[in-house]
Amino acid sequence: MLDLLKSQLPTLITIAIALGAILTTCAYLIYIERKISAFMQDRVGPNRVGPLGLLQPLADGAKFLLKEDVIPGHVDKVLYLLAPCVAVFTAMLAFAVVPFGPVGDEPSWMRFIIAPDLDMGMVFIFAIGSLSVYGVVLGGWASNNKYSALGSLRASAQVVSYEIPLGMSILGVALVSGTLNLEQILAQQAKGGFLAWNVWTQPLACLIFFTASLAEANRLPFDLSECEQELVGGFHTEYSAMKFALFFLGEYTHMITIAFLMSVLFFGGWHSPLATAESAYPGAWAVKLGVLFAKVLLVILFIMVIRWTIPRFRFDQLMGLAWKVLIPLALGNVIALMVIRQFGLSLWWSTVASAVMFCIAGAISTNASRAALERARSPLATAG
Amino acid sequence: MPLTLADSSPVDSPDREYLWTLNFGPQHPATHTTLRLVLTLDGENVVSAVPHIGYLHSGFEKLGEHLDFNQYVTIVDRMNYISPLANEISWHHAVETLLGIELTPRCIYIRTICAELMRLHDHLLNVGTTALDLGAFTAFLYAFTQREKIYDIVEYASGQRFHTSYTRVGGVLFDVNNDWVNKVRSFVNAFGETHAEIHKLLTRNRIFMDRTKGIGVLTKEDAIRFSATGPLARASGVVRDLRKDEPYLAYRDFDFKVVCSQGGDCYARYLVRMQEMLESVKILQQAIENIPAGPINIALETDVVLPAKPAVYRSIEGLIQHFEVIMPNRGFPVPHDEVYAATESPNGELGYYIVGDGTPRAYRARTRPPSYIHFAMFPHMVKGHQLSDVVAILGSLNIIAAELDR
Amino acid sequence: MSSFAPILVYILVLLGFVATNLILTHVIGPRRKTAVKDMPYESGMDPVGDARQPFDVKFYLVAILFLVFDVELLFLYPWATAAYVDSGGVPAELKNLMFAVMLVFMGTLAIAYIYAWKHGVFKWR
Repeated sequence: MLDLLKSQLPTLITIAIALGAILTTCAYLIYIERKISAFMQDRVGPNRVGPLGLLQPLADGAKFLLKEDVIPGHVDKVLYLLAPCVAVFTAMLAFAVVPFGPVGDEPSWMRFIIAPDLDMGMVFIFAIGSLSVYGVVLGGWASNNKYSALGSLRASAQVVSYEIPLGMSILGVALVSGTLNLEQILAQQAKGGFLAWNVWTQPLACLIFFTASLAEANRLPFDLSECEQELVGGFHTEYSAMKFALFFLGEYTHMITIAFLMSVLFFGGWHSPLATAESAYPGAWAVKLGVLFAKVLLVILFIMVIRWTIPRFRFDQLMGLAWKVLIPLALGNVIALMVIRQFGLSLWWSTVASAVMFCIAGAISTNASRAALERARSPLATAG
Repeated sequence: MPLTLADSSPVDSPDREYLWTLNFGPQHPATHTTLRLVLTLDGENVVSAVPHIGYLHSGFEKLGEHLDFNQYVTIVDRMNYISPLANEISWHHAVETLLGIELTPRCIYIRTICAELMRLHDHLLNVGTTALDLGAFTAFLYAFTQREKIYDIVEYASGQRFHTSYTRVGGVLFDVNNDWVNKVRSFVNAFGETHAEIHKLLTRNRIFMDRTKGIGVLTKEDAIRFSATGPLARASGVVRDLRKDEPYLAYRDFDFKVVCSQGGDCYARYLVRMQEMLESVKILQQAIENIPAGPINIALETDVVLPAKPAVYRSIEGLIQHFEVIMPNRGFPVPHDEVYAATESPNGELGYYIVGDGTPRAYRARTRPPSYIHFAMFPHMVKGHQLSDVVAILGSLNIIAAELDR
Repeated sequence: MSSFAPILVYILVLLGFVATNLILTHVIGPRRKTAVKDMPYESGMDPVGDARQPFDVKFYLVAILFLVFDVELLFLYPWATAAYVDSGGVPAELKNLMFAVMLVFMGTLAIAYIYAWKHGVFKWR
């Protein structure tokens, strides 16, 4: 036991740092989100607690802890308590294989990944991601509340549906890099330079991945499982105090993981003109860390701006998007890459294929929506 | 064809016991006020919806029989609190029809300007909440920024931001000055920018279109049979606008169009409201440049309006005049008559039916609120749609519970 | 297997983290039970019926389809990592056969997908 502890000492340190960083980041992401929405909507945003409202997250955290921990009488107690734990546990566990810094040339006292050298990195993330739906389903079922039940049903259908395009979009990356290890995928992009970033050769996969992961994280426009205007709070209607905060924490952790995955898989991670794979000047790791964090922050900001700009889908549209649009596109993307790799064509053909498929999908969907509209209207127009 | 209401009885036959019954409201974020819908759901699909009313019943109409025509204006304010001044104008329009009063030209213009400001006020909120209910928060707050400016304008004229109680029988509370006109002018000229921003955010947004097109369709025939009015009817192709059909106030003087659409769905209602805002801006631009000079209230000899304060304090005639209007056993000369008069409120035809019995209090003051009529159509419109569409349709109907329950 | 050890440690730490949170909020927060607080929330009305009722069969269909596609994905991952790597992957002489097999696999999948579509599995209204 002691041996294990000793051998895992660096792991423990990394975990402590990563966990602390995630918690703080989540708290401040909420602050950032509120400030951004305020900026977009001509408001001021939080500005009461501390200078510029910077202490607001701390106040919120304390409030969550001090609020009454209501466990309603009609709930299934065990599952009710288990649900938020599962939600936050899975969200955080997925972070284990994500490199959050330049893995390989960090200083000796630091390690930028919790579980290094895990060859099935991406599969691990998907497995854990599929588990995260349990948090929502259990929460909705245990609450014994119709809004919660509807929310959890929606969430489960949504998460499992978007799991498929999400997984398929990664297949293309795996075909090109020949590995599912995030560190190696990143290293290959860094070695190839700016044009080797996967986003250039696989823009469609990038788009599908981004859309599907938004849905996985229940962010608007995909937040049907908790949409306030229809289901009040969705699956967390009956949750209060820290249990609610755990759900929230899980959601924001999910967002951070997505942002990291986007940067690592498609945008070259820490790679930048400032610090390439060859640069060996002292402190290069710090520059790389900064670059990676900047990219992550940009993705997160983009997700937030989306949230405050567009309305949300209806449930059938949401499922339609997953099953009728994203899955065929992702499948087509995989087949295109398979053909390209088999016949040794230039990877840039993949960009062409992506563009073609994107345009075809756009044309089909425009026609389909027009036809659907006609269908929707005609019976009502004649009804007396 | 006989009027058949949509099937509004709860389904409880044994072979359909898998259906869920869900209370939607009164305490629900999307009902905005205290409405209640009892929905029967088959999965996500709405099988039937039963609207329940009365959660905000406060006896407004009964109060109308106990307060005199000027006092009751503080109550009508609170009916459609999204556009309070429009209610006041409508109420006093009915009262003045009963008393046979001709307003001064200046008062007519100022009331028209207020009415159109309230139309902007109401439509902005409705467009905003329609977007909000669909999850687009930002458009809502863009709309609210402009509403704040209207609040400021109204406050400048009446001293109150919200429940203004601005109109009086035979006139208004205070005359307006040039500063106020300038305020309105600068607001009207800057309004187009926000309007364009909301347009950009929503009108061509694919998700917004998918969520509202073909949803909650009300055909022209149904709109007429259910006696829909206002933007709701016009979005279904019914060309009916009291401002054109039965011109009141100063609407005869202005060049504006009645906005109609054939769609009849939530999207058409949104578009009609958006376009009507531009028409209102057009009316406002014409009105503020042509406000006639002269007295704001009608002549004192009619025994309806109060004399100016200095006259009351310094001359016995003024004091007597004041008493004649104010004292409970005196007051206006009211004919033994009944009258129904309606105005085109932002939400639809807002009418008041008043029975006069010689006293300055109405024997009966019945309101015809557009919300009440429109809410009755809800089960018909929601049939076959999904739970998410409930909020879209509810938002596009613009139902105000206080007006609904009175 | 040693690369999984950190994950094990991480799991333990996370379990400790969530447990601490739940216990803390339970201990620190006040508790005042009332009958209304114990009721399920349904827009302020007494709920009609139970929330744990049978629900739409569509959700089961989605779950089954998910199983089909997810298992298929799991088959594809090893292939994707091994098919076109320079060393240690699929031997060169098998590459063409592999390509043909994968095409058949994808074709079958596509047929299943079209079948499901034609039978209206993806139709929600």
